[in-house]
Amino acid sequence: MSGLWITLAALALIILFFISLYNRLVALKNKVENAFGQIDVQLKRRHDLIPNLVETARSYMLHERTTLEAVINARNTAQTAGQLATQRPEDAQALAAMAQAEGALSSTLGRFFALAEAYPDLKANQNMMQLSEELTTTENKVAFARQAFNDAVMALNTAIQSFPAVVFAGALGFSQIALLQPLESEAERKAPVVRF
Amino acid sequence: MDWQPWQGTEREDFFNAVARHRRTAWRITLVCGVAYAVLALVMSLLLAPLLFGVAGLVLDILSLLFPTPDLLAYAGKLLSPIVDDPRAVPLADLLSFILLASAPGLLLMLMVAWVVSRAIRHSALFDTTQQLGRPPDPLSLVERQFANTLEEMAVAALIPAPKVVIIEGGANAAASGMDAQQATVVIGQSLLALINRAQMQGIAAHLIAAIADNDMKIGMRTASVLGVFALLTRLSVSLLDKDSFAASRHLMRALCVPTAASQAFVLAQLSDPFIDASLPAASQYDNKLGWREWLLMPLMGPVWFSGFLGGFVSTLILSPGIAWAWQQRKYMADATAVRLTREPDGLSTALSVLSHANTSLLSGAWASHLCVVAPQQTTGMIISVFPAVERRLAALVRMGASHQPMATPSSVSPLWIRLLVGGLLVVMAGLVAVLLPLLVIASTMLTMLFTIMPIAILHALLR
Repeated sequence: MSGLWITLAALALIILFFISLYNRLVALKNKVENAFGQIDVQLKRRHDLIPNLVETARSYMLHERTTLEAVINARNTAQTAGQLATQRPEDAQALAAMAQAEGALSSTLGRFFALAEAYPDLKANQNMMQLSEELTTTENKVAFARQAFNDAVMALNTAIQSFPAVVFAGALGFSQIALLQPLESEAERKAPVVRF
Repeated sequence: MDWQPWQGTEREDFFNAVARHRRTAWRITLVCGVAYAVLALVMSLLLAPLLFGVAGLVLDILSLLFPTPDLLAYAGKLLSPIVDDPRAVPLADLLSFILLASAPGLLLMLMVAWVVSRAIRHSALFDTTQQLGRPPDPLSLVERQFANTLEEMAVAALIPAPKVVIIEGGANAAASGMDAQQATVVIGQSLLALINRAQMQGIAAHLIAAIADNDMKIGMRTASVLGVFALLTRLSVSLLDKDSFAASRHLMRALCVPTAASQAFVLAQLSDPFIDASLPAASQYDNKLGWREWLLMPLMGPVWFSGFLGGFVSTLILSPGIAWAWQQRKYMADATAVRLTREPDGLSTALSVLSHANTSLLSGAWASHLCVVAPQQTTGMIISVFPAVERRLAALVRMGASHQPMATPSSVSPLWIRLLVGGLLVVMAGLVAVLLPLLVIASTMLTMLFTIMPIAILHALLR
């Protein structure tokens, strides 16, 4: 009789173990999906802010038409790529195209702000200061959303790779997820060569 | 120049720092849990004669109408072998008697804890609808920047962005509210003028880290435990003075009827039970003991003993213990802040700047532990809830921050002061150990006089 109780208790412990393991992996996976959604939200917010920025700057940066047009074009490309990736999230090429377009937009914006430094009237413009702050915070939020996604993926991958989850994770339907790659292209990530 | 690799203790990966502090997070729960369990057991054993006596008398009164069990005779039968010769009673029987005797008292203590935590939950500290202050002005760049940095850190921590409220106050900020879903960050006006955007991000990261790591829930639990101790101490102190004794009825009524005014009154009473907090003019209370006060006399025995003991334990052991454990939460918030920003210099330069600024922020004894840096009004504590700024900066340097110059002298007390305080604590603990048997005797005599004798007389009359 006592043997039966011990067996039942051991069975109950094993079931509880699997339940807790499954729940933990589910919570980590949901965190990853939440983080991915957050990136999308911030990228869309960036797309919405840029037209206002260009309009405010246009009357001051009269001779920088090329740069302003480049910003608008990069924004439109990124917006289109983002919509496509949202419609086809399983398409790796669409995601790669979105990442490339967002990277190009970031570097175009960087050139725009570098140029804007040469226009003190534009910098002092109240609207411009607020827009610039909104864009800075949006850029930061995109970066932090990507960081949060990578941290959540790292936590999930670590949990899946650790013992004893590594034995059962596949059977329970969990697999490792790839980290997000940097937005900049290989060429942009190379350090600039300085010659005097 | 030959580059040397970092030595073992010079560098600490911030992921490891967060994990290390998370492993010690159980300390606060342990300190509060053990203290509350001991207090609850002591109180419930002391209340057992009163509770069983009242239950027995009710059954005796009902026995005049229909037959009821004689609870008091049964309790007497169980108790007499233990009173006659405790050593002859088997341990298992003794333990089951203690459990049975303390059961109603434990239920009552659970209710007291629930009532006190309800009062605390309704305070401005945890009920964010009561927060006074204004939202950030969208036309003010610095206010907008701070609100933005909080949103950025909330994105990094995957929690909803907290509400932001700006108040007239020193260079400090605090997180308030019940949990991450309904958090408010309170910012002192002076803070915004002192720090740049990178430092704002460091401060914001610390606040979001505290919210995401559940510091507010733990803070509420801690405040509830301290509040229960403070309530008992308040009641026992009030027994010494007729005005306070009558005024304690006001406190008990305020606990049972949760209006905004009554909860604010309760919190003011509990923030320092040894100080007679402002009451509506004491003269409006009758100096004579009325029938209500005589009815509360049976509580004198249990409350007298546990109140004083609770006061001593709370001031000398529990509060310092909680403060010591809470320091780990501050280190953890700093480490999590570095994990969120990946940039320790923002927080370290901010702490360095704030170390010689006026940091007074929220008034009220319960609020200081939620601030980023120690508010200046926290004085007279044996151990501070905040680690010394130097130690926080040293921990940030280990995680990669640059060394920050300290303009003010070290805030860590010299060794002789710490030895003196330690010695005083030992002396006080010795005094409490000597006082304990006297309190037990006094409590037993009061219980005999005001509880057991009247109950025995009434029982004899009724049965």
